[in-house]
Amino acid sequence: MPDTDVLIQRAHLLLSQGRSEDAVKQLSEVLHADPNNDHALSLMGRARFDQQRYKEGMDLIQRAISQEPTESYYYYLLAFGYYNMENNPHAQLNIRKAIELHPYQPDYFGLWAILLLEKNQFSEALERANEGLALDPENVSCLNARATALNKLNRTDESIDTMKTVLDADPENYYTHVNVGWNLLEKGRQREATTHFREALRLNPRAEAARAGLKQSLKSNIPPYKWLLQYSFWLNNKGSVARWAIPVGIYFGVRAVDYLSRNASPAVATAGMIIVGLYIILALGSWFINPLANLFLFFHKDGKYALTSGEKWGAVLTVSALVTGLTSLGIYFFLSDGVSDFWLVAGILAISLALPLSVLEFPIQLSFRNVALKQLLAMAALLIGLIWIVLFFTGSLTPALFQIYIYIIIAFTWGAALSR
Amino acid sequence: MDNETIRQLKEAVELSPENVPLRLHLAEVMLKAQQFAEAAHEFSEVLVRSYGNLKAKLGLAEAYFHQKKYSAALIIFEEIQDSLPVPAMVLYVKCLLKENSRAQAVEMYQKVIALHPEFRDEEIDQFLRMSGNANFSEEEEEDYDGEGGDSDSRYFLQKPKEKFSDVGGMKRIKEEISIKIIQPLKNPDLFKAFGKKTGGGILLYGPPGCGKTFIAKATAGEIDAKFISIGLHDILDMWIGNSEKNLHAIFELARKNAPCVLFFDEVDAMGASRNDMKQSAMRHVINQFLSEMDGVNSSNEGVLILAATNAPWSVDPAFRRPGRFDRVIFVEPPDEKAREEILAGMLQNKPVVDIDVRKIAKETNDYSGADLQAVIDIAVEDKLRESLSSGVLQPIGTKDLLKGVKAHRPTTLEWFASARNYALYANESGLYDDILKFLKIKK
Repeated sequence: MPDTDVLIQRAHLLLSQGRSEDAVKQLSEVLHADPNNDHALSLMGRARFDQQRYKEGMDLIQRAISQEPTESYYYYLLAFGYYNMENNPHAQLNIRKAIELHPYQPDYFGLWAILLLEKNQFSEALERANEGLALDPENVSCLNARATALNKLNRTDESIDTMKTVLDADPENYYTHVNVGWNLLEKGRQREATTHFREALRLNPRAEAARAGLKQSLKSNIPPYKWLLQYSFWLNNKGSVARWAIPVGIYFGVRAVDYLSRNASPAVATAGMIIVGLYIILALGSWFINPLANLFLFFHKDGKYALTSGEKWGAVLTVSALVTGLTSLGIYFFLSDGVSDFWLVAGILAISLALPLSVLEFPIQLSFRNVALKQLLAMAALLIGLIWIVLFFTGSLTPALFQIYIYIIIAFTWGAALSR
Repeated sequence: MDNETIRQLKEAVELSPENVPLRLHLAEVMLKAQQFAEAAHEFSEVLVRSYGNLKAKLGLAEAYFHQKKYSAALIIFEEIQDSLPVPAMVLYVKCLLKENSRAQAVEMYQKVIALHPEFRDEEIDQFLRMSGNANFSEEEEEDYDGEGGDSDSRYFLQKPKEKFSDVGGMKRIKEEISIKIIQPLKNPDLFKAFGKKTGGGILLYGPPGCGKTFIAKATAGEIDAKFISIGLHDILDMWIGNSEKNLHAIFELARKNAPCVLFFDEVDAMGASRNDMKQSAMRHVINQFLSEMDGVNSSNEGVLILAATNAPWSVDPAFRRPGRFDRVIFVEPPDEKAREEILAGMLQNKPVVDIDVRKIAKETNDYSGADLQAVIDIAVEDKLRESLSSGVLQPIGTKDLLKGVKAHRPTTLEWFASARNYALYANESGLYDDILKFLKIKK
């Protein structure tokens, strides 16, 4: 029988080198000889986490815990698994247990702080991060959590100080650069953010978070995109109720303004029209700004490689639908004799098609399992749109049918916005 | 002297052909003089005249053994199994090994050991130890010195027969290896005249299954050198055990057996990630490796060092300094022409019917050598099943292979996905320019 100690040590090395597949081989051998080896089980769990098979990894760690229920590290791993599965309450439960068992590990406090940040509990997160830093003033995850918490609490100077400390402590940590990048982006300093995201990618070219950040920071060079991004940052920092209450509130506010201004004096009516017009631009902009900005990245020397092929498809299709629609509308307004509304209908149909296209994720998969609700809605809307276009070209589109279509599209925009 | 004796004995036997002891004596003398064929003939003559003569049978078996007629020898040994003297038993074991009956060989060898506990035979030990038999674990000492090809060290010396001509495609890589390490060995004076320092190694990188190990082996075969392959586990265990000593022993083994190709597979495992390095004393292994490579304490004359990795980004940058792995070569997936060659080679000796290799090669963009093997395996399995159910051998056709191509996705794609990122964002010294070129990305 091979010596399990050697195998476990090998697995440890392999994991630290990012060779999770090889580590799994070594660990399976250990578990073959000794199926209840909790050390091997937990390492196997870590290997599965590395491969982003969180469910499997958590099962393995549960087994390790059942063997050794007093090992705090296993609860930390479990909490990490829940964090990645976006189960924040369970993650917090387990990290608390880990800290109960062993209150001297700064990384535990770092994870807890990150979990609290996710729930917008910024001052609690700051406290946890500070507790961790009391144990080790150079702990990278605590410092990062502290910097983010301070940033969210609008204590910008302190936040920048902390970011400097963490960059000094470990300048080659890609995670720090990503974090600093997001913090800067939130403060609207996209140029500085871009350099940090670039550095993060240089240190770890496979970091998806860094690539996402790089795209956002590059797109923020377009002012309207930047405004909308700031708006969504602001909205996200509010509570979960506010996150949908505010847009709905704005909508009804605008409807009220619209209703009231109709029966008011001409001056008030004009002001109301302007407000409604601005709102429509904002609403449509929030739908189309992302694919438009992606199209802008096409022509950027770094941006074009950061885009996924799905994003490229989305951008091209949405923008083509938009251009077709706007051209048709243009033709209607300038050339049409006012009798035939062919171009008007064509324009509205094309623009309505751009709505689902802008949120659709490519490539489209025709299986309905594990598909987000938003994707399903977009697929349905796209299909309906195509059917109506066929009806339109075959000449069987009646005004009643067209009205139904408009209602469907409005329902879709609400459904998609709320299913986030 | 022997020849004279043999001649005289032959004459004597001709005079009295029925004299069994005399003929037996002649045969034994012939055996000693290594005239195995004649000896075998005389032994059989003896057996015709005196059926069941034990000495004659033993002699005949030995003669057969030396003539490499192992199965014939085995038949005789089996017949007289119970009355074998020890030397004959050893021969029996060797015959069994040659005929690949390990289990029987082990059983017989245990009998030998029981009779002579201190008995040793290198050839047998080597075979039986390779089969992982625990009976001989007493042999496991730190003895890396080895004596030529029969050494029983932990790191097996091989003598590869593959030549460059056996490697499909890879023209550029062959050239690079040739100019960097083969020519200096063949024409040392010329290189000295130009003041070109020899030494250093080549680091091969690329997606898995594209023949990095194979070309290393072929390098050894091309110059008729020995080949030592150090795999992932050997490297890992350097971290764990008494690492520096092991590493030194490997290099010493290579130096003693020069010319020798020393090949480190998955060399990136030698450097752990930066964060781990700071905290621990793991730097030792890397430093030891580098000083061995630099030949600080002993010359590396005649030792060619090759290394391969799927993750060049994890290889410690210190490895790439001049005099070390100063040539870094990208081993790309085979191009269309190379794929044709590889496919044709793999399909040799298989039942095929008018295969259009070119068409398959065209369809298998990005497929590595290992992927092509997988495609063929799929087709073979299909055809086997068909042949079994129909009872008639069904040869493989182009269509079956194309079906295999559909069923097997190339494994190189995943590698290129991460390689692309490294080439785009971490290509500081132009290290990954070859990848960019291959992916047709202009920066």
